[in-house]
Amino acid sequence: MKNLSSKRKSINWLKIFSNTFFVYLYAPIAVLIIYSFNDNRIAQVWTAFSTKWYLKAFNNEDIQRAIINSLKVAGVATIVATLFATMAALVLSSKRFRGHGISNAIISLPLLVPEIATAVATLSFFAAIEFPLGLTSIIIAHIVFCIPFAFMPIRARLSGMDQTLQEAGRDLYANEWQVFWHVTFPLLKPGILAGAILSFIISIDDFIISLMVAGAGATTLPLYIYSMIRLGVSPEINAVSTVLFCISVTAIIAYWLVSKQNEEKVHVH
Amino acid sequence: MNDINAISVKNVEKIYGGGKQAVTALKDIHLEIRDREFFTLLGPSGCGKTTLLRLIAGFEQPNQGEILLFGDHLEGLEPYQRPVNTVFQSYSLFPHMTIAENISFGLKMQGKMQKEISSTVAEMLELVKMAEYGERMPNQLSGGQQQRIALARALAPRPKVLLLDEPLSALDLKLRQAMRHELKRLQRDTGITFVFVTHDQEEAMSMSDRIAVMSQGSIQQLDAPETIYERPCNEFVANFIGDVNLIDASVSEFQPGKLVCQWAGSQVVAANTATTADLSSENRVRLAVRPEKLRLVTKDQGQTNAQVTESMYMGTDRYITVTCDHGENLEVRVQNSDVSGEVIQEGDTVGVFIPELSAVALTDQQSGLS
Amino acid sequence: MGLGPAILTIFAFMVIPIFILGVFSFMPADPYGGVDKGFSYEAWVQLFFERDLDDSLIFDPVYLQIIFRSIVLAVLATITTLAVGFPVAWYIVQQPAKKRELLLFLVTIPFWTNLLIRAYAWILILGKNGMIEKPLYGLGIIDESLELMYGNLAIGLGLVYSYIPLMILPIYASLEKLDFGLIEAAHDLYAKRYSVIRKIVIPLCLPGIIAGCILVFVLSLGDFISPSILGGGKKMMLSNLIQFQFSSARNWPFGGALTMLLLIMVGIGSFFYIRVLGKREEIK
Repeated sequence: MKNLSSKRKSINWLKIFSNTFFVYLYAPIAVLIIYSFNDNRIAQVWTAFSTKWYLKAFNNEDIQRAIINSLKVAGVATIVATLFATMAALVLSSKRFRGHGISNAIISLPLLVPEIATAVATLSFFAAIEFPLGLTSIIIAHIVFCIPFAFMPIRARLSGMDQTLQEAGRDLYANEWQVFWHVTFPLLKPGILAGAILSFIISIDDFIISLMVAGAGATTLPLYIYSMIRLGVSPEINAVSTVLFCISVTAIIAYWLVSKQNEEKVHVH
Repeated sequence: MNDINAISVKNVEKIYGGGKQAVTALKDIHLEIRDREFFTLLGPSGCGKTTLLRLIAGFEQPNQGEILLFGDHLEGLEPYQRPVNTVFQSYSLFPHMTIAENISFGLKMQGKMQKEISSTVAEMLELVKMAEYGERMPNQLSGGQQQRIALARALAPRPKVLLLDEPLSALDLKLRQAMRHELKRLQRDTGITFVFVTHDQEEAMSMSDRIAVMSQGSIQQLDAPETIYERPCNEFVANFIGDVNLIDASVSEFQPGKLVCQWAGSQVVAANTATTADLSSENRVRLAVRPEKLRLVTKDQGQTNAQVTESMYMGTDRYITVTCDHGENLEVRVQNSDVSGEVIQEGDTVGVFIPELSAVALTDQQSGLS
Repeated sequence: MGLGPAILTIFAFMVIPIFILGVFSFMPADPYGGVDKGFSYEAWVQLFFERDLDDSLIFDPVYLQIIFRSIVLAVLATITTLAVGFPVAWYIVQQPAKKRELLLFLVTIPFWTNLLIRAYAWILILGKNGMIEKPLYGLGIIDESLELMYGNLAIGLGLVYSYIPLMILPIYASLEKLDFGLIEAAHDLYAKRYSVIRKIVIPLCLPGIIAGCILVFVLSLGDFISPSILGGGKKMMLSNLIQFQFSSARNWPFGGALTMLLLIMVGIGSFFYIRVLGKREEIK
């Protein structure tokens, strides 16, 4: 009896600790969002609810341009990285071959190299080949680090896939291409979608690499936010940050839903 | 038609890997499967039975030898070019297609007309008694139902031979027993040759016209189920199918189909399918006797006397273990059909009697297969 | 063939650039940015020494101090995230399936949101007139700023906040695989709660703990945002120093040398990480 009660007490303690942790995890974000609706010009002094900073931000042509640039970069990088990652995953999951391990290692390399190193290395490379800095250079850099993020869910989906499904297709008179089109691809689609969403999130949020390889006029949203932060706290930053935060959260919820669906569909039995 | 074999496997060898890691999965396989036959490849896991099935289906290529389908060479033909279909162990129904789409897949790939496809799908659903399930998704079906759909899907393109890779292994016992009848009926109704792979001897015995017992990449015996059980050719087959007592005896006389042996100082007449050359020079022979063929008789009435060491009541039978006077242990099975109430007790002394031709002489004591 | 585009892209725009950067570190700096032709190990010398007016080398620990601070901060961040992350992971794994999924998702969300914004949000809390100081002013407890921002404390807090999901997730993953029957068995064999955690839980989820520690350490070591936003650029870490060389200082070779140093340290960390993962696979 004594043992039981002491057990219950310590679980409560753990619960308090964990709940405090979740407050810690979300408090700053909550503060940011709340203050983005603050009417007062001085960010930390609350006066009244207002959406004026959102209106102001959206009427700011620089912010508009930054958002468009971000979407352009994330859009192109996502499409290219997802395509490349899908192709690579199909090859790497089909059978083992010489160079299998090294190929896997190269694809996951961008996950291991610190962003600052990628950033300055890419900058040096573009300088060495005299490639002009601008949106194109950002897009190229983004494709590189988006590939492993797109690759992971696609690869996971493929390895969770029953290999005999492809054999069943071939057995039922479908040639290689028909098997891909009627069996593999439809089953892979949720994985590809998940990979694309991850790529998009990673690209839209990227800051350091964009900072180093962006030329004049190629400001993305995080770069713009950074330049604003350097000038000090302002309600406008809160508004723009909240928008960017919401984009990421929407995307991650979409990813979560897609991958949940993934799990359900893979397991037939 | 009947004089051409559905499948002829000639001299087939399959080796996985290369160099030092090479594993021989099949060695020098010869096999003829007749048209409209329910043929079973039976053996423990790793014996090569599934490999042989995959070679026929075309998922893998033999390193040597050839496989003929109704006299036609299959070499170089992709799985989708071979008029054989497979029922997979895990069913492998396409999870993103409805049941009807699953069944029509093969027909669509063959380029059949839509009208023909719909009528065949309906016919197949009828055949496996799942007519109302066409629009369901595979994950909405139970294991047994998925099994039927897998059968329907493989039968829909009317293959010349249907290959079944342990299709019942994922089902529970009751369902498995029901599906045996179902498979037998399907085979009769469609008239298609079935090649069935299993490790379950009961499944093999109950359904097959003929069984090939495989072990370590080669065929140990190929015969009708009765022959396999009654006249196993070697220790492996005798052990793998049913329970068996193996006893050592010495040969005293050869007769056509018979072997007169000496065992425990008495005479045993065993069935013999081998020639003298197959038997060892010292005239030693190993005999296989099924537990239900052994008789327990009154003391001194059998070939030897023995003491009952264990008596286990199993419902229809009683499993009895006896220790012979010369030390050998034997398993005996006695049917509980006797109503007199006389029961053999542990500690009783009884006579052991091996009736004529109930023991079989095995030919492979030296082959090391056991 | 299908592998080509992905491999070539990463090879051309990541492997080769890192190699070029390594080459740059052995070339003379061009004062207008970039590098000059020729060979020079000046950048590597600069890590330890300063050149006096008469060209003699004087030991100068200023850069080593920054590197050392980076390592210390990364280690402290790792220890803190472990101390906080383990109990949280332990708590999550004991919840019913539905709640577990939700909590796990809540841990993941911040990881996928912008680090910049998350660091910025802390300014609102820690900064002058922020959420912490203002009530203290109001209550008259303080009458001048606590200067919570722009120091090692703020940077460390930022690192912990940024990377704690990466500590919790691998620990959770290994705790989830833990056979809870073992815990019951230990209780059955008279082990108290604390000894169960120490003798059963921690040893069995050690791979997760190690993986989490290496991830947090490696990422903290290369972190740029926390020091530059929360440290206000005054307290530099390695990343800021590197970025500085490629922007205002225009000393690319020195930046290259610093990057190589960072890559070596991260490479060692990654090597152990992969080994731990490899071990985990084996156990499976």
